[in-house]
This record gives sequence, C-alpha cells and structure tokens, in this order.
Amino acid sequence: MNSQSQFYLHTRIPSTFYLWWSHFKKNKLALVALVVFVLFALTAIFANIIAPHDPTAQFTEFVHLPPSWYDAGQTQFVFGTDYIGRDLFSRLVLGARLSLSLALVVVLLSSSIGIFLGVITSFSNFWLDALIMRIMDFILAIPSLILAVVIVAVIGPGLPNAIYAVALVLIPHFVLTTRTAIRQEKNKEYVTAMILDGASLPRLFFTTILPNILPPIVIQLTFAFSTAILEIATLGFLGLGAQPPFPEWGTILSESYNNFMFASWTVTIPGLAIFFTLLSINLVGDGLRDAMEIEKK
Amino acid sequence: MNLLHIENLSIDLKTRSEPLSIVDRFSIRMGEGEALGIVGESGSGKSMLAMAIMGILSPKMTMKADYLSLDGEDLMKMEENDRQHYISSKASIIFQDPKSSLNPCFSIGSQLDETLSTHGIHTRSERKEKILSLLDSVGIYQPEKIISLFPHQLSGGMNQRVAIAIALACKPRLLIADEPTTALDVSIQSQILDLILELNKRDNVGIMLITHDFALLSENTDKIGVIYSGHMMEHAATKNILEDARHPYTRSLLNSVPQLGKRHTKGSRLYALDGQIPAIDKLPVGCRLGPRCPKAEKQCVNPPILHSIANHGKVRCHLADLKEQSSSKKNNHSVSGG
Amino acid sequence: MALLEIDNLSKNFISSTNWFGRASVIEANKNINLKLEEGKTLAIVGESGSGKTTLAKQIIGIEKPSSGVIKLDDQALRFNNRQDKRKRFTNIRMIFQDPYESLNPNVRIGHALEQPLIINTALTAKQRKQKISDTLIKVGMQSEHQYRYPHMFSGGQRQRIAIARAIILEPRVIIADEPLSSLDVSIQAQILNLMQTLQEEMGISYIFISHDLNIVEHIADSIMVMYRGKVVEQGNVSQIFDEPLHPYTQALFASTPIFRNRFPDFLQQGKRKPLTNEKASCVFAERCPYCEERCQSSSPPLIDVDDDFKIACFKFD
Repeated sequence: MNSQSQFYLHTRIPSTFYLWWSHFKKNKLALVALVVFVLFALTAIFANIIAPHDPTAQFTEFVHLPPSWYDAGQTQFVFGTDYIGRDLFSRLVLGARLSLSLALVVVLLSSSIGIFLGVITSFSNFWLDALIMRIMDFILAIPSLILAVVIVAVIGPGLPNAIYAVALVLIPHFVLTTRTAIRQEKNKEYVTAMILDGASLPRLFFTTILPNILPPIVIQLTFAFSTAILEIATLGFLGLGAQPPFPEWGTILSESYNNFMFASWTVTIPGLAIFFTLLSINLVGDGLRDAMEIEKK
Repeated sequence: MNLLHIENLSIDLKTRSEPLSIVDRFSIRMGEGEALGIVGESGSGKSMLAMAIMGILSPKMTMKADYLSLDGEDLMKMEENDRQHYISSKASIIFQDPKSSLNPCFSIGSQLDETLSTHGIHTRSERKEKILSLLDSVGIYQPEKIISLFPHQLSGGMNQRVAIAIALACKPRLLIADEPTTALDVSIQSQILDLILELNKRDNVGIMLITHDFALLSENTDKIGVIYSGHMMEHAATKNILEDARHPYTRSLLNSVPQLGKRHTKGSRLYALDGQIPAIDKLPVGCRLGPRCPKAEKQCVNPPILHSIANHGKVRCHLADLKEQSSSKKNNHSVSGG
Repeated sequence: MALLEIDNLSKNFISSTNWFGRASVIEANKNINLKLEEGKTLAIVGESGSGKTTLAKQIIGIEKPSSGVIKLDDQALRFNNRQDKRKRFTNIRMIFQDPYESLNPNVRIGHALEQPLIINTALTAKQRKQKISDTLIKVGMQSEHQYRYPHMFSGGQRQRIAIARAIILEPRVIIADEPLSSLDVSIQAQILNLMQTLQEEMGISYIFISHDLNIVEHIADSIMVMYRGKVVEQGNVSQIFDEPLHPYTQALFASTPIFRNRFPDFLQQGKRKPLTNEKASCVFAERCPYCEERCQSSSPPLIDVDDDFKIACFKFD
C-alpha cells in the first residue's frame, strides 16, 4: 500500500516488468553477469567484424604459437594458434556465434513444443494428460546426455541431428514447468472470477493465466539456454555434433585435447570461454528468479 | 505484585534507512490472575507485542524497554538463554491457527511428551499420566484415544484444545491468546473461549486475550487495552470502556459493530471510520488517528500523551481530557506514556 | 413473481470409490427451495461444511446441480447452455471471501474490470473506460486507481474493487460469500454500508453468506439456516431473531456472546451422542439436546409453518 500516492494520483504506476527489472538491478552479481553475457552476445553478433582472420585459414609458419602475453607470442594472434596454425581467437569468436545461435534454435524449438504440450496437458482430459506425461517421464528417466548420444548414434552424427537431440532432451522440462504453473493458477479464485465474467478458454489463458506463469517459464528458458550450450559443446567434443574444421567450442576442445601437454592454451582458453558463458547465463537466471518470485508487498 | 509489568516497550523494524516504529512506548501492568483484552486492527502491532513479551520476535525487529518484568523478575537484566528459559516456564502463547502451530509429523501425544520433558518431567510414566490429565483438563473426551492421533485427523476446535494443553504443560502464570478463535467455526469459538476463561478462574492464570472483536471481550475480561497503529489509545476497566469509551477510536470500533436487535431499515447505516490504518512507513504527524478522526482539531497535530482520567482509566486523546476538565475539575494528570 | 427461485435443488458429490468400486455419496445440498425478491437480501447461515458455498456455486453456474431447477424471472437456467450461461453471468455476480485471492496480482485493476465489459457488452473502448471510472467512483475509489495493481491496495480497498467488478455489469443478484470475514471490524462497517447503498441505488438483491449473526440481522430480510447440506429453518429476519425455534439455530445463537444466556441448554456443546442409525437420523441429532427416539430413526421433513416460515424438526409437528 502506498499512501503517498494518494496525493499524487497521476504519478506513473510502474508496470510488473519494471518492478522485476528494479529488483533485478539490486542484485549486483546478476547485473555483472548480464553485462558479461551481453558482451558475449555482441561478440557473437559481430563475429565476422571482430575476428581478425579466417577461422579455417592455416598459418603453417605459426603452428602452436603461444598467446600474445607469452614471450614467444605475437600480437597478431592474441590467443595463439592451434596444431595446424589456425588463429584461436578468430575460431573462438566465430564459435561464440555458432554456440549461441545453435542454443537459441534449440531453446526456441524445445520451448515452443514444450510449452504447447504443457498447456495441452493442463487443459485436457485425464487420458491425454496421462499419455503425454508418461512419455515425458520416459524421456526424463534417461540421463539427458546419454539420451542425446543415443539419438545421435541412431540418426547419425552432424549438427542438425545434435540440435534435434538436445531439443528433445529439453522438452520435458518445459512441459513440467508449464503444467505445474498452470495447475496452480487454475485453482485461484481470480481465475474462477474470470470464468464468471464469461471468459472463453483462450481469453482466460492469455489475460489471466499467462501473466502469472511467465516467471517460471522465463527462468526455465535461461536454464535451458545454458544447458543447450553445454550439451551441444559436449556432443561436439565427443565428435557427434559439429564436425571439424567447424569452429564450434566443443569441437575446438576435442581437436586440441591431444596436444594439451605442450600447448595448454588451446584447451584452457576455449574451456574458459564455455565456463564464463554458462556462469553468466546461470547467474542471470538466478537473479531473474529472485527478482520475479518476490512477494509483492 | 504485578504478574506482568511493562514500561515503555518499543518495537522497531530494522530497515536500510531509519528503523520503523511498530509499537511505540507501550506500558501496561497486569495483576495476578487478571484477564486483559487487547483490541486492535491488523497492522496495529498487537501480535508483535505478544511476541515481544514471549521473546520470540524475528531478528528483523529490535525491542527496547525501560522495564519489563514477568512474575516479579526483571527480564531485561537476564542473560539471553536464562531469559528464554524463564519466559517459557512462566508464560505460554496460543496462536490463531492451531494447524500451523502443531507439527503435522508427530502425534499429539509425542508433541506433549516433548514439551513436558523440556520442562523437567523425566520419567516416562509420569509424563504419560500428566499428558492424560492435561488433555482431560482442556475438555477432551477420552484422551487415551487422542494421544496416538495426528493433527490432521482432528478438527480445528480439537487442535486448538491440544494447542492449549501444550501451552498449559509448563503451568504458566500468563497465557497469551493471539486471536485464538478466529480460525474456528462459530459454534466452536465460544467453547474455546470458555475454556480459556475457565483456566483463568480455576487456576488463576493471567490471560492476555488479543483480538479484533470487542464482542469476545465484553463479558470475559477485567480490563481492555485498545491499540491503534502501535499506540495504546485507551486502557481501562472493561465496564468503563463498554459504557463510556473516551477515545474516538474506541467509540468508533464499538459503534461499527451492528447491534443485535437493531434491524436494517432503509437508509440506516453503520457508523464507520473513513480510510484505513496508516502504513508504518507513512505515519501521520501528531495523533496517529488524526487523519481519520471525526473529532480532530487543530491541536491534534501535537501528539497526545496517554494520561489518566479519574474514575476511568488512561486515554491518549487531547479531547478526552478537555471533556473531563469540565465535569471533574481537578484530577492528577499523571503522565505514564512518556 | 420472485426474481430468483430455486426448486428442490440437490447436489451430490461422489467422494471416492472403495476397493470394490462402490462409491460413497456425500449429499452437499438436499432439496433446497428458496425465493429471492427484487431488492431484498437473503442470508444463508451455517458453519463450514453446511453446503453454503456449494449452493452458491450452483446458483452462479460453476457447479452442476444433481437435480432441481434454478429459475431467473421464472425461466429455468440450464447448465450447459450458451444463452443461459450469458444470462446467468450478466445477471448474477459474485463477491468472494478473500480480496487477496480474488484479484489477479499481475493485472492492472482497470484491465481486470474491463474484461466483463469486453465479453458481455458491445461498448466501445471509450465507453468502457468511462464505465470503469464511474463504477470505481461508485464504490468509493478514484478513477485513477484503475492504472494500479492489486498489491497497492489494502484489504478493504480490494474488497471495494471486487464489488466494483461485481456491479459493473449492473447485475440483479449478487452472491456474497462471507465478504466481510477477512476484513477488520472498522472496514467491515464501511463495506457493509457500501453494499446497502448499492442495493438502494441499483435495486440489487443479495444472497449473503455469513456466519456472523450481528451482521446478518443488520442486513438481511430473510434467513436460511443450513446444517450439513439441509435447510433446518427458513424465515423472516424478525421471526428467526425474535424466536429461533430449531435447536441448531438456537445453538448458533448460543455461540454468540450476547445471546448465550438465553439458551443454557447449549452451553455444554461438543459432547456428541452416539447414533444408532446415522443414515436415517435427523442431521442434528448427534448434537441436539432434545434428541428423541424418532429423531434417531427418521429425519424430519422441512414443513411450512406459514407462507414464509419453514422448519425441519419433530418438535413442531
């Protein structure tokens, strides 16, 4: 309750989104993570401007050149070169574009299917609900990475197949989140009130239920995004996803893995790139959760 | 000797900037075996007061007092641990919702057993006997059958009886009942109230009955304190309050309840104070009732103090004072509110 | 002609089937009859579990009656009929008990108030806005409050908004399910006064569900006392308050501090008698101090004493 605004009736009433943002801002760690993530995203978008070299060009005279801060390093190759003389920095920058955009595709695919199924199950009759949920339970019962590996093994390695596999693995989480949220909402008195206003099912969903189930879904989206990046990289590392010479982060790691003993930077730097991307996304997700699930006072 | 003696108890909520006052300089004395009613709306700080006396305020709150004694011992001079132990041996509290104050994972018997063993009854058979007699004393029929049941198997009224039995386990001198009947069904409410008052008469337990409903207090309490927005507004004998309330807030509370026997005729309205209780971060200047008070005058921007009025009690209002001066000229305005 | 009429309404819930597939049936409402006149208030009194809310849900149309008819203007309202549904939703509106639950926390007040208008009327956006402002002012709020979210209001203000939502379609009947019980005493009086003002201005009839006899006596014209799904006593406010006849009504009165001394037989409630035949006996037999043999073996019917006074008790055969 805000008795001050009794006198200033025309003051702007902050929207729910603004409230979420103002709470998110207070969490400094999440804010830093957001900045880091935006930097990664910008790098991915402007990858071809930022990358100094062609990621597949081989500079045969500079094989295993250490990063520029080593004595033997050259400023031309900031993060050094790999075993056939390709510029690591350029490969990572273009890898960022690849990883982030692939993860985005995966999340869009799995969330649209998952949320759709979640809505269907929560408004459908007992049998359809049971059928969909048992299928989801079946997918959830198998460890996600193993399931992805199995799927790729069946339909063959390659980037598109890896995307389908990871998307499939993520779908049940969206179905569960959506279903639980809607089930909780459906018993609320304001939903009954809306039914008594004569609202049709679509109107009921979009005007009354959707604004209230948005927080768990948005939070699920961020965690699905980080999971997607990790799983795509893992499949790439195992040789089941993107294939060399494609500059995908997992593929870069797997190619350099054998030379770890004498060219450690070719492993640590891509590893750190994955680590910081995931960390920033997860921290943003945590911040969002705290901001969106606060009790409204 | 006073059972409970509080002088200038203040409770503040810690915030990033200034602390916010929830209860402001509250003073009260309760005699042995007295039944005191505390009336106030939600947000008036009445529950915080109960928790402060029991020493179970949340760490977000700070509490200070000039003097706070329970059954003759000064609580402010005790060590933290001793104080908690002492309070729990002298006073008990029952809450509004018995379901949430009982642990759903343990049977009624084992919860009572636990409480008794912390209060120094060490043999199992002794405890068992005590449990049965406690349950019997709160009017539970066939207590042997109840002890193995769980809270969810009992009705709300039964659960509240069990909660009272647990509260009585330590033989308290003071029983604080915070809205004990609000969550219960109408026909059960009077039974629980009767039970609490019977304890008062039979065992001479001091009762502090916290409620928002005057009707509960009318026949059952010796004194009533009316709290509004953290201030004690009026404190007097029940009879004086019901027949001759001096504070405009007390009067409005009494008048806003429909009187039995007065039926609705076209156009008749209940007396209602406009507006609502102020938020604790936006307290008005001067008298806290000021903006809502139908009788407010210029002088009400100066905070009134709680002062005694002869043949009545204590009132925090400038206007109660004026009215009194005309009828009985010289009475000692001893200031106790500060 | 009565505005709202209910004939022999019953509602059974099938609670659970046991291992052999035999279902146990709970009779939430049994043979309920009532008439509500234009501009009058009917109070339904009873403790929780008496079937008050189930009755309200059937009248409002979110629960299907097992048998019986609900008539508005002498026309029966069918449960799954589009036209009847619309007629019901626009003419009968509801106010809920807890204003913290009945308003959507993430939707602005104006948006929530606009929905019934969009769905049920042909008003333009501008007219809708005007209507929302007018209605908010009518319930003692300000027009600008429509841009705010529910969490910015106190309980009393929220209940005003809930009332605004109920009256915005200019209904003829409002069902209020314990609208005051979650509010403070001084706020209760404000809301009660508001409801009476609206009744006089708009000619609304109320079905007022409550357990607070003070309030019921103040607002109601007629009273229906329910116990375990059955009507035990039904009559004018003066008849019931001057001389409550049914033992259960007396028990309710005895639990009100001011009345308790009039009914000393009920001071020792809670001691229940064992019943020989629970299915057939009077619903109140277990707690009734006047229980006789025939109360145990058969259930008294609701008999018409005169035109608008009915009672179900063998004492008054």
